[in-house]
Amino acid sequence: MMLSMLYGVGIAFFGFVLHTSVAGINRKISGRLQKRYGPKWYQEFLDIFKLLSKRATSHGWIFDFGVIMALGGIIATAMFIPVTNNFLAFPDFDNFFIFAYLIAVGMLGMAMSASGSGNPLASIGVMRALTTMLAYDIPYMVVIVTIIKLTGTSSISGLALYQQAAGNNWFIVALPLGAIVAVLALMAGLGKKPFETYIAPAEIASGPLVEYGGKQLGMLFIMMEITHFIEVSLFVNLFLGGAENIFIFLVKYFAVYTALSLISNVYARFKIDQVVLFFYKWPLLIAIVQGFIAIYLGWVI
Amino acid sequence: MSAILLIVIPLLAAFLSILVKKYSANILLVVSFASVVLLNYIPLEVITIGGFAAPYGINLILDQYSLIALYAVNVLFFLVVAINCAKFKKLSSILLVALAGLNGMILTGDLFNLFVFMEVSGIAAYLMTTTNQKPLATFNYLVQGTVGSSLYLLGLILLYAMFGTLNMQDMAFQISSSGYHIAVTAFPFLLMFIGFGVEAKLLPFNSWVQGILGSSNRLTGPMIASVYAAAIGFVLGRLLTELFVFEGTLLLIVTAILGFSIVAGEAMAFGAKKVREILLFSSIAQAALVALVFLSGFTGLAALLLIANTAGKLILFLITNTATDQLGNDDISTLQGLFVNNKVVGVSFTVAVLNVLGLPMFFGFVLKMNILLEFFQTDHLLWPAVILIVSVVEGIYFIRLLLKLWFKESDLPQVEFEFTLKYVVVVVAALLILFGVYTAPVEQAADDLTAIQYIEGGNL
Amino acid sequence: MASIELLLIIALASGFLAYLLGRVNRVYGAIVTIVSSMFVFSSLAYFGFTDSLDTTVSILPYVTFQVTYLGMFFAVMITFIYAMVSFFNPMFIKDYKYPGAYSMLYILSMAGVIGVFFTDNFMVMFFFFEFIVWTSMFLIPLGHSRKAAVSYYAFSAVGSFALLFAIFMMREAAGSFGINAGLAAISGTNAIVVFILLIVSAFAKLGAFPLHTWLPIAHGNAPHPFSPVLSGALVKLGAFVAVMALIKITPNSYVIVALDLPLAQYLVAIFAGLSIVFGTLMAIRQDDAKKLLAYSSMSHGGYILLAFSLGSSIGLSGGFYHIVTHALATGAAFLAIAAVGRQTGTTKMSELGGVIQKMPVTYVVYLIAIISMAGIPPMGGFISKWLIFQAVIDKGLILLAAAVFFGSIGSFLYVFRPLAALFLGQEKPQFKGILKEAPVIMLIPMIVLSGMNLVTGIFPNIFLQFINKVIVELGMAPVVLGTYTIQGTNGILDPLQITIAFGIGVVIAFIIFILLKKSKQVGLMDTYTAGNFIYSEELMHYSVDFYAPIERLYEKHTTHVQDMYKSLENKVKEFGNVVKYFFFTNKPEITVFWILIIIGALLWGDLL
Repeated sequence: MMLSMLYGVGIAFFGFVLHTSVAGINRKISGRLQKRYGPKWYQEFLDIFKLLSKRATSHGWIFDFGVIMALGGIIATAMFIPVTNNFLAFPDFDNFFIFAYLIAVGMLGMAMSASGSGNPLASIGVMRALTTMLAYDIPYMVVIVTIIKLTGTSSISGLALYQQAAGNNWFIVALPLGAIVAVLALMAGLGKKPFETYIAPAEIASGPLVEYGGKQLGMLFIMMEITHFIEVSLFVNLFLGGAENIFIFLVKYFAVYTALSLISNVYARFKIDQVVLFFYKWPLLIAIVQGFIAIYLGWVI
Repeated sequence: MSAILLIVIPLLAAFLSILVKKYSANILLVVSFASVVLLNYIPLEVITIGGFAAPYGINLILDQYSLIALYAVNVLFFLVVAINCAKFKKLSSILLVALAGLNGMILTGDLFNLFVFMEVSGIAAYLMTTTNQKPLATFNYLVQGTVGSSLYLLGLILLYAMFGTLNMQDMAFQISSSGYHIAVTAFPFLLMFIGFGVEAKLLPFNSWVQGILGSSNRLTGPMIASVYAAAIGFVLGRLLTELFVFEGTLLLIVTAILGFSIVAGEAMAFGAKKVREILLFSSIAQAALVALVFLSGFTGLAALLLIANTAGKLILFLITNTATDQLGNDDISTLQGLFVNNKVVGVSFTVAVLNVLGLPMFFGFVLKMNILLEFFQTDHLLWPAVILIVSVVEGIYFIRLLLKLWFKESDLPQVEFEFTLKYVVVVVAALLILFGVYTAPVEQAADDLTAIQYIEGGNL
Repeated sequence: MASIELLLIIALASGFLAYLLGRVNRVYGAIVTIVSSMFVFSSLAYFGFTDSLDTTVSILPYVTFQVTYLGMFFAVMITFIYAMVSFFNPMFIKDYKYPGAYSMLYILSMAGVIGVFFTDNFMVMFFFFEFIVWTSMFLIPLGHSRKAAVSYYAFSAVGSFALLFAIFMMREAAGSFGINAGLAAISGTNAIVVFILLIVSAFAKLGAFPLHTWLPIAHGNAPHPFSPVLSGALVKLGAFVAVMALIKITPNSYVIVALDLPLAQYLVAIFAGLSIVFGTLMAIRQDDAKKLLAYSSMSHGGYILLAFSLGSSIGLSGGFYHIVTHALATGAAFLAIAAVGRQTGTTKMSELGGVIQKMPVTYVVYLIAIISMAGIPPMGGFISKWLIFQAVIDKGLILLAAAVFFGSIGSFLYVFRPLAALFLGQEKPQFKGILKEAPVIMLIPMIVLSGMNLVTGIFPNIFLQFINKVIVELGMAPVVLGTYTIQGTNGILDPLQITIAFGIGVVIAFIIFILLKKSKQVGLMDTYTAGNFIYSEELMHYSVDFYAPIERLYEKHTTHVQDMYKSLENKVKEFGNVVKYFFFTNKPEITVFWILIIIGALLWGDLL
């Protein structure tokens, strides 16, 4: 048990390093795309370490406690991620619902801490984040339910293995409609444009993060890097057949994240109610249609 | 000791009280109490009056059924009188006549004699209601009552022409043995039913109720809604069980009238804004329900339900009318917060209401369950459904009323309830709880009453 | 051995004792409620779990008892909530208009619970069922609103009478009022009718769509300590009725092959799904924290019904466990709000803010409660929702899955609102300096309930093992349980492992935090305002129309159901007025006219 736990902490750390690097590279790519030079690939590490080393202000115990709960919750969630078929801490226990709900502890911690700062912009940001979540999570969950019903397992590594087995396509191919929904949901989950309403720097001053500085902000950055790691890894495992070894994982991971970053570069921001309407109009419908044809008609490519 | 005393004593006392006006109230009190006491010593029997045997002469029937009816009526009468006799001294003689009439109605075994007693008690009631100070309503009551009794008489004449008898038992026997087609008796029966319907507050013959009970005082409210309702209910029950043969179209019409009375009564009470209106419309529905249960043949339960309802109405009308007398009107808003400072009265009122609603721990619950059970056992699923649905409506308006009366922050109405009234309502309420918890005697009584074949006259 | 009859009598007697002592001093009456409910709960739990409850009856007429795991499950849980909440009574009793009556009715309604769940006779069950209704009905108006009690009674009456009708139908089929006999004997068309009636009863009691309108009114306006009892304990009577309908009666309905579910069950599930969605949407837009929690109860009631309607062991287990976890969570949340309500005098979020500064313990209690309510590990709500998800996915119910997840994510939204607007944010100036933490006697039950929320989340198997007994008693296969693990249909859950992982994560985060430079403490008003000078706390507090963007999308459609009942009420009144108009005039000739009509009807039918 204790060994698995240490293993899990290792995965969380791996995820942090991986995603921070990938995100840094993507900043570079975006820069080049916009005819800029762009920062160094390790710029994000520098930012985080600088923040951690600085002295900051605190708005009371809940402000600090929320940050700890946020980072702790996300680390705990990351511990369950299966990176490859063999690189995972808790075989059989990497239940999808653990990710779906354990990640919420971290989110709740951050939301609580942000509201605890007393700044209304933070509360507005949290409100928008939760509303966005209500928008994108339902279609996404419906797709996941379809997958679980088809395969009979909710274990993430089990699902990856299922796709790797001979005769089975990756779900991005097998369930094309569902995959579209999942991509959209992933973009919203990562806070990419056009769904980044809850950050909205020019509007609500970065929303939840408005009051943070120093170590609290640094820890929240770490938390967000790991969160993104979790979300992208889940997508890789659920729709892209997981990974037999670490190399394949890195390739897939990088491809997914870069593709999404590129897409988001060309979009403007939605208004918050537009986000909700958007997700409840098409993605939810598509997800339900996908579910029906996959489960009741058995049409799986 | 003979049952005839129950009629004779009040009548004689009525004359006496005219002679000694000063003591009339005392006479009334003593006589009404005496008749309650007397009931304990009268043996069950059929009394022939004037020496002629039953089919030809008038007889009085004192069986289990009429004994219970007499107890109910006399006790209720005594309670109402005990609270009011000091204030309504002038009415003492009339009240004594009324008592004689009511007792006579219950006791008599002769249909024409029944008409006479109905008129006697009716006239007493008209006179009584003049104290409401609403002459038009009283006049209306008088006209309708007269129309009703004329229709009864007309029906009776038709029957007499057909069968040549006025005696209830004999008539029933003749009808069953004559082999007449059912349609022949339908018409007179309907006329008689309508005649009784006026007094028994069945829709649509009861428009007098609103004028009379809606502006009743402490005497007339409980007297009409409780004492008279009990007597009329018991007599109607006897006729429904013993004499009337309702089949075919007639049965349909009667059932429709009763069903409509139940539903419409509750709906009207639901929309009412005055306390007395709520009570009077709800008593219309209850009277119809009692008649329905009688009609369905559950005599014992119907009799007990009648007692429970009239006892409850006694409490409700006594309290409401006392408050109204002192406050000037009976709008719910005027009476709101009435019980904040009158908790004992309030609890009794609440018990009476919960009893009417048939909630557990109260007498009404036991009866309601048994009535529903009987309906189910005879495969009548419609009536339980109707009863339960209107119970929801009934519950809503009664609970709304109760809460209004219990809760108000300031500016409470100032009402004094005297000790006698408190004592009476508490005792009645306690009895309603007692029989709600201790159910064995209730069910025993219901079974006994249903089992009696009092028509033969031998089972006394 | 402990006799149930004795327990019932003691409970009833202590109710009257509470009234008498309450007359002497209102606080004494409240203390009797604590002693009595603790006594009843602990005896039921102790003797119940050691299988030594005695069912013999020697005094009470007609009453007969039986001990079933199902009944014990409900009785123990409900009396536990009663016992916990009773600690609040002494602190609130001074506010009531009729304190003695409050203490008495509180205990009497609890006594009714014993009667409902331990009897084997339908009539006795119904007796106590109604008994609970009217005793609790008089408790509600002691709070804020009289209308609340009326609507509570109206819907309860609909539920009770539907139940009663069903009972009589079963009695006709079985020939006796025996519960088991009745449920077994019903068949054919009657089974469908009874099924529908019982479902109506369950929906009315649980406050599920479309019989839910009483729930926010009653919960929101009941006295503060009674709201948790309503929400955590008494609405669960509906779940009990639902179990009877959904598990014990199997009406012969068309089976939807694709779903492997009978139509009847599926329809119930659809309505349960609507309750979830509707309750969630309504909870999101409430300003009163108690009403918000009330709508959340509606949504959770939907979860329970949905779980039961799926007819699988795992669904059943999830439903039962959800009853427990929701009772604990909603109990704790309502108590926390009650504590805030007592200390500040309001439960409206728009009037509060920054309560955490002075009431940190209450805050933590609320936090734990909502974590459970939102179904987030490591609290109990996660386990029960996980089980329900397993059951839903196992059947492949896409639409219902969407509803279930909507309720789940939506619960994040609505539970967070009181957190942000009421507890966190700017401290309102009117409460500065005067606000104090709730008294110790109120903290005790809140802390115990929080502990239970944690225990149900970390060691669910303690409870699930007992629930397995209930399920087996109902004729289903038990759920497979390991020492710490739960085997679902598509995965295994190890709550302890998750908790440890969470603990490690928090420890790491804490170490990082503590090693780094200490922060400077600043006030709440010392925040970024984009250059504006904002001087008052009100302006710096975001609490009104919290979810305005999403509320806008459906705000026009929130009152349809209320409107329906309102118009139904008006229809009844109109009917009454029409009758009054036609029949109640001061003109005797009208009466004569009606008499003639009736006579005419007879003559036209039979003689002419």
